[in-house]
Amino acid sequence: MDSQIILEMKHIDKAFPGVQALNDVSLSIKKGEVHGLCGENGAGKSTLLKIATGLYSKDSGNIFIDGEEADIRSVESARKYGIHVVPQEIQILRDLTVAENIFLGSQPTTKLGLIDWEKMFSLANNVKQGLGRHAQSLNVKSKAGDLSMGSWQLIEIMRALIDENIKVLAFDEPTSSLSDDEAESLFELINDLRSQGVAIIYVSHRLKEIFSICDVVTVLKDGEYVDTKKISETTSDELVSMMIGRGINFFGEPKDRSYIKDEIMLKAENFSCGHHYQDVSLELRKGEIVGLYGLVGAGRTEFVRGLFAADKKDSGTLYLKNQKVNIRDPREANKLGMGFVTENRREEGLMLNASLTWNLSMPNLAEVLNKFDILMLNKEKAYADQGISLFDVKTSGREMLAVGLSGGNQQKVVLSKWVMANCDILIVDEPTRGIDVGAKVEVYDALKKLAKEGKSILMVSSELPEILGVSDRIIVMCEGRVTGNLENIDLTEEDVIKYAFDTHFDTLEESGYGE
Amino acid sequence: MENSSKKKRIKLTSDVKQIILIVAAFTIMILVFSIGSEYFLKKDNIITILISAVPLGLIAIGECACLVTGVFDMSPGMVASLAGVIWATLITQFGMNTWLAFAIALFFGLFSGAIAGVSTAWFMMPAWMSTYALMQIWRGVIMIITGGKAINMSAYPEFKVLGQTKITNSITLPILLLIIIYVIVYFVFKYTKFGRSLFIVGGNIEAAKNAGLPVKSIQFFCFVLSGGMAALGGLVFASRSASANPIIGELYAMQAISATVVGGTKMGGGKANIAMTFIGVLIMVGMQNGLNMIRLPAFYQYIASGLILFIAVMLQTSRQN
Repeated sequence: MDSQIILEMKHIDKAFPGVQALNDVSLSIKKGEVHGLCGENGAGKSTLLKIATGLYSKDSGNIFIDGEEADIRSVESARKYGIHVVPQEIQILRDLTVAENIFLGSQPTTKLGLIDWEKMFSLANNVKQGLGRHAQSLNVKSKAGDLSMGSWQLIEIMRALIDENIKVLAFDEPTSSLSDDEAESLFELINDLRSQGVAIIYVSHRLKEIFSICDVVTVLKDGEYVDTKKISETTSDELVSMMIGRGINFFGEPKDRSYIKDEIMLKAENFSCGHHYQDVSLELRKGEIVGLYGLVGAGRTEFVRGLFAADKKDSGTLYLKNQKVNIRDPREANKLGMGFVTENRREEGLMLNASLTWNLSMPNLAEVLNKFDILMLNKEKAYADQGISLFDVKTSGREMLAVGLSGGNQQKVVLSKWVMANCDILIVDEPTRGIDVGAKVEVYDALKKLAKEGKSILMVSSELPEILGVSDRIIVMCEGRVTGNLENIDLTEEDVIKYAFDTHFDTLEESGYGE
Repeated sequence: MENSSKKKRIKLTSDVKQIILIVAAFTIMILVFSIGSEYFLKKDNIITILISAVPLGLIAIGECACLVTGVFDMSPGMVASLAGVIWATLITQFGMNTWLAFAIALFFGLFSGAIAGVSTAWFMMPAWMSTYALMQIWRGVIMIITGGKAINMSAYPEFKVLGQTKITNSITLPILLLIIIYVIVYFVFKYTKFGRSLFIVGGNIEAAKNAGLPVKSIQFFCFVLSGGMAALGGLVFASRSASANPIIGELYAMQAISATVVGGTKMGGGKANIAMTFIGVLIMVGMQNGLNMIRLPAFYQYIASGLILFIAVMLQTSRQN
């Protein structure tokens, strides 16, 4: 195979508010190569992919295509250079035919400017014939909405393949919503494309897949390039050890485990919901912080939303303080002393254009009503001041609008809101997402302070160092199931992350890849 | 810290700025019309403006509550008309007691609001769409009952009590009623759990759900309030004019939305000032009256009220950006 470099990214930097997503990352992709991109959550693999395909713009660095510098500013310009992507969230117009979906926005037209349906169908069929045998059952005249997820992905791939100059095709977690059979035919297809000389970028955290179809794998960690290895010269253990050991350590005071009481505050038994999560059980003790870890797509957020009844679940039993309870909506959860700090505090937690006073009293208006059910505004002000001082929110006063606070202080307001509402059990989902490094410590300290005061906290996080730095106990989920339940005593990142890859490790060892 | 306190100052002045802007628009309107017509600022005319502000003022309260929670109610005009028609018909056709008929007509308003509320809160229908459909249905019912003709009620003295009773020489019962209701609603918005809940639902409905607020019932009662206010507005108008007019409600929905938006209520929800809504009502009614005074044909009033709404919305969105 020709080993000519098609796509070369050099010294790419990219920052988002509060986080350096990519720091001096370089990557070369050769013709006819399947190049895996691996890394923990937030390592920067998706960001790098999005820069290559024009979805994000880089802050600095250069991109070369066939040795010439390319100016990629948008998805359209990336396509002009022959770089295409099959996104993780497949975008299909359900009411259009397969062919229309393939030629979205670039339908062949007749001289009169009308859509040339005959030509469109025959072109679509031509593209289909170039794909493996699994694609042949697809009828380009069918309505896309009636087809399976695997077929939708095929449509996305065909969208890329109508470009005759295609050079690079990138896949972002392509198997996350496919059945095993569908994934199998995808791999055959990728092999075909490789033999046609297309370079493939394959982003996945499923190591088994990386080993079965990639030629080369690059590992990113914390937005930085770690190493590139030939797949035949590495092992899954080596890859995992390259992914972990992230260099952040700012967790303030270590959590004092002596505050943990034996009393079980919350016990969930066999929570299941469709393909999101199955048979999830866990216990939460008084004064305990339990970290719920897993890779993106493991079903953590879905599970805790089911726990709080923010979304529906199929089955599962919940006990609060050993009493069986049936919670149908957040309102009932709230009445039973549960608070939920969602991962989107701006969208689901705060009234951005309202004062801190209003935001703080929101879940607990009863507290500031008098006996005639009239709001006592003075009492509410005192209540708000108390909430603000609880976690030392940096603000010019309670009348300030929530929108004017920094991310960390907004998060403290949300936490404070629940604590003031006398919640004993707090579910916090990604509590430090989008928060500056310095402010993260304050959020960690706030969580530890709450546990010390006897609250129980279930913290969902994608940040392994955060999970290890704050939790008393760590529960790991993988593909919708609990795969590990570990007391956080002398644990290392490696101890935890292997459970996040758990099922793959089993199969890897069986198939001999693990060695 | 410094930066954030700066931001707050800007925000505060933008609220104050808005009030200044509304009051300024109101003052300019008064100035222009008092120059255009010597009668505009006469006591009799001011009373006339106040009296004609009553139905719109009541309807605007319900509309304001809806806008605060982030939805539009398109039906209040027809609810107002039909309430008047029901009241008059029950008396003339069925010989019913005036006040029993009044209660039934008012109940109809609450019922209509309940339908809108259920469709929005539980069936998740877009409110402006379901209330628009409701408006058309009520329009049809009105036409079937009246055949498109007004029902003359001048022969029924009890019918006129609500609208024509004089408190003093010039102040009539409806004006007093309007002021009392506005004071109550101001209080409800500021000092009750229900009032605050409207703002929370409009401010961030997801946060409201997570905070355990009964979001669906809040939306429901918001529409019930709107339906009730619309019916009351229609009943006051019918009583004052001693007739149930099938078409008087045609413009009320748009005018109520205009008055509310002109009064600074944030489209999309979460922010409103009921006192400024009242000024918004006076601007809408005063504009109509003033254009009559300077003898512009009625058709120009459409253009004027359209322009006011356009400019008010433009000012609001440009400020947000």
